[in-house]
Amino acid sequence: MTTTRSLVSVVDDDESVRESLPDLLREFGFAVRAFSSAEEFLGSDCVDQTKCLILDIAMPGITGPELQQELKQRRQKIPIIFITAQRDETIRARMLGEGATECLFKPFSDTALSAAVNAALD
Amino acid sequence: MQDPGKLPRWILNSDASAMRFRASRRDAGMPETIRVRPWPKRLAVASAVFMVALGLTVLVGWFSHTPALIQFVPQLPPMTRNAAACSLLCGLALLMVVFRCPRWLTVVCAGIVSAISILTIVEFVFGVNAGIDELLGSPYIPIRVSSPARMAPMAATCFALGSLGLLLAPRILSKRYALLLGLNASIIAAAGIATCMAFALGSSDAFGWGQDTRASLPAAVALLALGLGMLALAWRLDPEQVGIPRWLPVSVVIVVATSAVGVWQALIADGYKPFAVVPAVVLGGGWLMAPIFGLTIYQAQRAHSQAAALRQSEARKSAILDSAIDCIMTIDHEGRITEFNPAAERTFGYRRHEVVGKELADVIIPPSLREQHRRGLARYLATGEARVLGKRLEMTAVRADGSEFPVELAITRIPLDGPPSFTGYLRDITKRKQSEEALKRSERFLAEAQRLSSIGSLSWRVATNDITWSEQLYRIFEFDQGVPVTLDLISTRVHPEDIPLLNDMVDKARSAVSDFEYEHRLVMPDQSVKYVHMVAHGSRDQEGRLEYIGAVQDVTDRRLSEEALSEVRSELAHMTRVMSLGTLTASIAHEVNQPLSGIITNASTCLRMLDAEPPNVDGARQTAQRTIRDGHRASDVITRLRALFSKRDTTTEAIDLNEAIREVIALSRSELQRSQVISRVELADYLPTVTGDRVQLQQVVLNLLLNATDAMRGIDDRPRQLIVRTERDEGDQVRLSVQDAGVGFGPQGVDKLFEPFYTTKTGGMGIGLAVSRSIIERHHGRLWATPNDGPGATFSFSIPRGRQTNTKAQ
Repeated sequence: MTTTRSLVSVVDDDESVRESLPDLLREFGFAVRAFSSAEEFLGSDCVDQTKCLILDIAMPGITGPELQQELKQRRQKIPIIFITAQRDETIRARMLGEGATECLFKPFSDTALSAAVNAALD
Repeated sequence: MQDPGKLPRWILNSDASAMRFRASRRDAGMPETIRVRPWPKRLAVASAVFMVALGLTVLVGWFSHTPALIQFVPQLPPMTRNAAACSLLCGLALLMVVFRCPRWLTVVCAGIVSAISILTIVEFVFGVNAGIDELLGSPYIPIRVSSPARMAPMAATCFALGSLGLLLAPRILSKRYALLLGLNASIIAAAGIATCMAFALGSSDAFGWGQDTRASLPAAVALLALGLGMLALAWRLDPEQVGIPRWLPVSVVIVVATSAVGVWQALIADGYKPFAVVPAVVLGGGWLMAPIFGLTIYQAQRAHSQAAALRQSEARKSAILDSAIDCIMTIDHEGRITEFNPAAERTFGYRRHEVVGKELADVIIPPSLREQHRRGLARYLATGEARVLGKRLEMTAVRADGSEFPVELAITRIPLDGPPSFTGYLRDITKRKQSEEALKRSERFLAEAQRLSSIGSLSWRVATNDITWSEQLYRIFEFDQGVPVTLDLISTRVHPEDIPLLNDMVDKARSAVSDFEYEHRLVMPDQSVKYVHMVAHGSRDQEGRLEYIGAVQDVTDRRLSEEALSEVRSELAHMTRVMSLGTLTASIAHEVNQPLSGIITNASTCLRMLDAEPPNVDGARQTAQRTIRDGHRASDVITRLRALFSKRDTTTEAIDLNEAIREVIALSRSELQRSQVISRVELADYLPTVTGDRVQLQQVVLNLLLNATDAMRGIDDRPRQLIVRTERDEGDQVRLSVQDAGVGFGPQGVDKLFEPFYTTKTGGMGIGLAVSRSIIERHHGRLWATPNDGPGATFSFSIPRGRQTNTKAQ
């Protein structure tokens, strides 16, 4: 576990996720920002500071994978942890293939999340 | 009084040359035309002309001093000037009456005669000279009387009577006056006859039978003519002249008796003693003969009037027989036909003359029944036991052409002495029988139709509670046929839960004329349940009484089929829902995992907050609350899933279609996202609620959404846009449309889209749209598809709004 307060950004259209996930991450000791859409995240000033991006796959507007591509194009090498309520291994494999650090199926445990974020920050 | 056109034929058919007699009878007040015999008028005219000629001749003789014209025979007494004038005037008056000249002419002529004759009588009675005798000149022919110019007393009396009668004659139109005129004329004629007979018997002294009865021969002849003329007039004026005048017997008695007296007098004048053999025989014989003659004539008169009455009665009977609509025939005791009326001729095809005298049985009774008829007649004649008399019978008769037909028959015995005879009244009832048969047939037809269709009919008179049921209705209610039906009896069969419905119907029916339709259940004695559907129409009869005519159909089979069908539909609908569950698995998992994820995350956070030193209690409470919220959210998803996918019966409730659509979209949101479908939801504000089955309607919406998603699955060249729209439709309908930008359907596709097992998808069964359409049609709506102007298609359904208030879209 690291003690540096690295910024973790959460992008999810689900409000309950935006409420619960940041609290838990803060308990882990991270600085957290939550965004309701990819557009909001891209328009914020956090893109450069974000050390880890927790990204929902299915979202209205720009989807998670589309944001991943966008960031690649911008050459922003932010580690990405995809989260999805769709338990689909093919999607997970595709996301990992595209360079994602992890792809977690909702619901996931705090340890799995902690491990994934720490892995992303390493 | 009979109308001339309806007079019996025998009256109208009299001599064509007969004169017409018109008399306005006061009691009848209407004209009557009767043809009468011509001779009374001819006799009256002849008598009058003779009197005029005689009077004129004598007067001419007097004025021209020609005794031959006055006396005719020199040794006889001359006719006085006054008598001649009276004869002339009486003749004229008689002519005037006969020819209906103005009455004043008659009055003048007869009045002068009356004046002369009455004054002459006065002169005789009081022995005075009123100066009337020589009014027309003095007599110049010697004559052995005290006043040679004076008219003989007998002549004066008779002219007085005659002239008075003629004065009255124009008014004589009734029997009473005809009688007076007739008797009056008889007396005058008798006097004339007696006097003439005295002359005829060659009496040496024509005046020998008393001063007061003297008259000259011309005067006597004139009186005889006057008497006969007036008799003829009276005869003609008698309203009953079709017979012999009533007064004739009396006048004959008068004439004969008077003549006998005249002859008796003449014999005495001739030298016989008054009671010698010859005069006594003449007088006694004459007086004996007078009543005999009178009686004889009276008898003849009676016989004549009876014959006339019989003829009239016959004529009436004949008219009745001729005009009767029914066949009337009479038979004698041997069963032979004695009468056969025209109706019988028409009915049986025989002429009367062909059958009269033949045995009735051979003519109109079919061969098979003849023996029975003969035995019946023989039994009646032998024992008096009648089985058919006075009753109305129906039997078969046979026509001349051999065809048989039904008749109604009544036989009565004619109440006459002697061997019995009978009258039969017979009516052809073929048409009635045919109508009866047609009616029976129609009733059988109706009963059979009711039995086949399980429809019974009823009538209900509300005021009297008279209820009439058809046979089929008794069968439906399983009551014994003919049991008196009451509302209480009906209610014993009505399902206890439906009794309020029955009461409500009865109350409504009683309160006003109405038409109503009810469906309720019956419980039979074996506890089986029947469904009956009733339609009734109320109306008021002419007296304003309320009556209902209704039809009741046993719809149990239909109801059971409907229920079975509904169950099958429900099963099918459930099956298709479960099938769509497979499609939605990922979406459902997403919907469930989302709150579960929140729960786990919040719970982990909560624990960590509590484990911290010092524990972050406020943060832990907040996260615990969020845990609870997410738990509810997960629970809601499960509830919606259960509602949509569990097996359940069809229900009917008021539904906010917007709300129902939102739930479906929530369940399928993840699926839409996964399929990269961009959904736009445009729900109308204040959309009226609809009535129906919420889950089934949601199933239709879900089906349309999934179809739209499938239709856009391969589309990459344009946004996969899905528009879900609700709006008010025309005619108080609510419409939902689901518009996609998918592959659409070809022109041949639209017809097949809603057919079962038609599909374009590789994994589909092709029943989704068919089931959806059946669901919408059960909601009295319709489901249809239209191609878009651009790519894709729009599927819409429209269903009637319910009776609830509007709901505002959120």
